[in-house]
Amino acid sequence: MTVLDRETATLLRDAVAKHAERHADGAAIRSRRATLPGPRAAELAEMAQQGWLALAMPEDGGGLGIAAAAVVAEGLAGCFTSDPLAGLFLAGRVLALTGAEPDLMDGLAAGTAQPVLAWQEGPQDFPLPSAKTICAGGKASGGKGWIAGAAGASHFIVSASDDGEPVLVLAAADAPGLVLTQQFRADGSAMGRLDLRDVPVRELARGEAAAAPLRRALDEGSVLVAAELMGHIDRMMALTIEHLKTRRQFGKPIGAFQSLQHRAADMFVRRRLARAVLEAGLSRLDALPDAAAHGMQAARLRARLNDSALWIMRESIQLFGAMGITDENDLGLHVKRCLSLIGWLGNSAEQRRYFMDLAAPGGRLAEGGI
Amino acid sequence: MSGADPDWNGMPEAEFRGILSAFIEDECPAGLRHYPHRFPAETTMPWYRALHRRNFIAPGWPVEYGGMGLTPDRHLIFIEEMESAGTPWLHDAGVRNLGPAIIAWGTQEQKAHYLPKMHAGEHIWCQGYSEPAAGSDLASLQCDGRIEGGRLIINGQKIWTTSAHVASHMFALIRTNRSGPKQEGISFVLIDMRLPGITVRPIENLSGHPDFCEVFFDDVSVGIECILGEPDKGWAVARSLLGFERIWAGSPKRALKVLLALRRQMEERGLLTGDYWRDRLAQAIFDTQDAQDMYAGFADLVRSDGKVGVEISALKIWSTSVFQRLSELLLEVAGSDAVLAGEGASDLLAPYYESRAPTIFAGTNEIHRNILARSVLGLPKSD
Ligand SMILES: Cc1cc2nc3c(=O)[nH]c(=O)nc-3n(C[C@H](O)[C@H](O)[C@H](O)COP(=O)(O)OP(=O)(O)OC[C@H]3O[C@@H](n4cnc5c(N)ncnc54)[C@H](O)[C@@H]3O)c2cc1C
Repeated sequence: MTVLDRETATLLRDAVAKHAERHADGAAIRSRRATLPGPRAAELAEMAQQGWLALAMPEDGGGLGIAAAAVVAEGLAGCFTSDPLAGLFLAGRVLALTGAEPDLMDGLAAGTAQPVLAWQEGPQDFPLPSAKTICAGGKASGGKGWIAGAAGASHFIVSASDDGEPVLVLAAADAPGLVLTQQFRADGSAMGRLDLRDVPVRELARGEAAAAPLRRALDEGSVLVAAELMGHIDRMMALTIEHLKTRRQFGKPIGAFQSLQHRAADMFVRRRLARAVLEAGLSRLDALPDAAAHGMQAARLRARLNDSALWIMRESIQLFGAMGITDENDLGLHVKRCLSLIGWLGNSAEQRRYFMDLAAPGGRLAEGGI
Repeated sequence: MSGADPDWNGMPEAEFRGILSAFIEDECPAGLRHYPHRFPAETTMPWYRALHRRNFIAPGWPVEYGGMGLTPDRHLIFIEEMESAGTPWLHDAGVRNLGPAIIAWGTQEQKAHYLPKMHAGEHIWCQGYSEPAAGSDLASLQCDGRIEGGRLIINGQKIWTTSAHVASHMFALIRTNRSGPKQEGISFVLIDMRLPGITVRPIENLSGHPDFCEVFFDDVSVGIECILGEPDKGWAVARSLLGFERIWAGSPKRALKVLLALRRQMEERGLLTGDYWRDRLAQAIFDTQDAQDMYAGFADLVRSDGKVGVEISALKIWSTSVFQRLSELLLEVAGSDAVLAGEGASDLLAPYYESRAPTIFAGTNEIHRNILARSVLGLPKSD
């Protein structure tokens, strides 16, 4: 698979940073909470124009792998959210990895189609349950939830079970028997719920050819979330350090108190660790063909980003004092966005379970053993 | 030294591991394996010399000085092979710490005299920096050196000197000038411990081992050529070593060793079938492997920039904290067995004791937090 070269990464990073700076509008984010399509980093057309939606493409179709998508997600934290990137990326990766529906993939990259992935059925489903949604005779029935990017979706890629075999099927958003409703996340962004009653579908893949791409796409989606968390960690940290330098009490900046200096230092440790783990992981992931090795790397990376984010959120709020719990402070936008991300595609407990399930008993640690 | 060494960095990883583990099987006696403390020097010297003969004693040195010239990734693999085979700790402050300083600051004569003997284990080195009144505030050190006709006459005391009771030599910070600011006027001195006037008193530590010592100097006379770098400018030499020392102190190898013990204990006690202990083990693995990622990242930086940089403090804090956490988890895993004083590999308390030290040596973790706050985050001076 692709290894992102330094130059391309820098170009991409700069373009995303420019976009995020122009769109870092906390008031706009607040006003779009709990509306549809909700707070977003960019409209579809603009994301497509920037080339961000094509990143999910197969390598020979111009895709650049998870490392490139991660650069975009991380940078978009600068405008408080990367939506609707992750939802589309998940669907794009499933299409790319199964090789099914190339036209739909092209439409996604061009911003003219909006396929999203509907895999999850319960709150504890990560890493991957066997779907209760049934597909038989070209018709699917069941329920799906936590569908990112569902508002305005053109297609749903649905995981289901056909005669005990896993399948991935495609349903048009306007298909008969399909009902879409929305729930809102902590940051006011929408997640879709899908009710399917004998919905006509087209099969994309079956058996291992369905299960393996779905598994890998979820790993990659989980890493994409981690990359966005990194962006929020950096920004929360910057806001907090600035506050420590400017807020004065007892006749001095509060950052002169050694107890707060040590807490700031420990925040830095968490941030630096998260950065190291993210970069090391991204440099390896695309080159890990083995599903277990890929999953274990993704799980460890994501768990660290979850944990560091929670740490930085907690400490930032505390060091801001009462200002830390106001909605007016932009810190809160990052906090709520992190809360919307951490529990999706695998919180840390789920990542640890996933990791242990993949590990080979008795093997060497460095080679995925436990 | 042998120019026939293979390309350690270029060969396939499995081959590299294979060569190392075969070497360990052949040369490192079972009785020395998985011992949680440091053996006396005479016990481990045959193993030290075997490493020397095979050119494995200085994995981090450049090849031209008899090192292996390993890349950070390979160095980690080297450490992992050594740790998982349970090879013993060595009295190796020389190759680990002083060697790179001599390579960087030494004269031709100093390099020719000291490096080969260090490599061969003929000289065993200890580090004489700390004094009773100069701990974290190291620059306030007072051990006195008077220059008299080409000789340096040393009087005073060092403390917490690891391996001083087995060392043949000490690299020490000595105050040779009292007129300027405290960082100026310190010389970096290479001292033969067998000289008259030196008294060594071992100090027993919590685990009951004499690992460090007090060292007293009473009119000890060394030649002026024993000063490394310029006289009075030893602080700069010592500082240049701090980087190496911090990478070493931040190495995840100690945590990795406990992780391997944890896994063994969990397995033996049949705990790996339940969700609870599996979750605790996963966390321990994440904490350790994440430290490895951070370590490898810093090691890469050193390789490309030649400098360590102040952010390294984050690695030291993380790795040493993980080491402590894992040692405490090991006690939990052991249940009431943890209260029993064991022996050798079954000494479950040993990692607990051993993990207390790295948060204190090589700059206490509090000092590293000060460094991060001031030098990395730019927070104002505290009072
Ligand atoms: C196992 C071991 C081996 C050692 N080996 C050697 C050796 O071979 N050679 C050698 O020279 N030395 C050695 N040392 C000594 C080591 O370098 C010192 O212990 C260390 O520098 C701390 O000094 P101290 O012990 O005097 O503690 P102190 O400096 O007295 O510190 C006591 C406590 O106060 C805290 N503290 C001090 N100053 C500050 C501050 N400014 N802000 C916040 N907190 C502060 C410290 O973090 C610590 O918690 C060794 C130590 C250990 C534990």
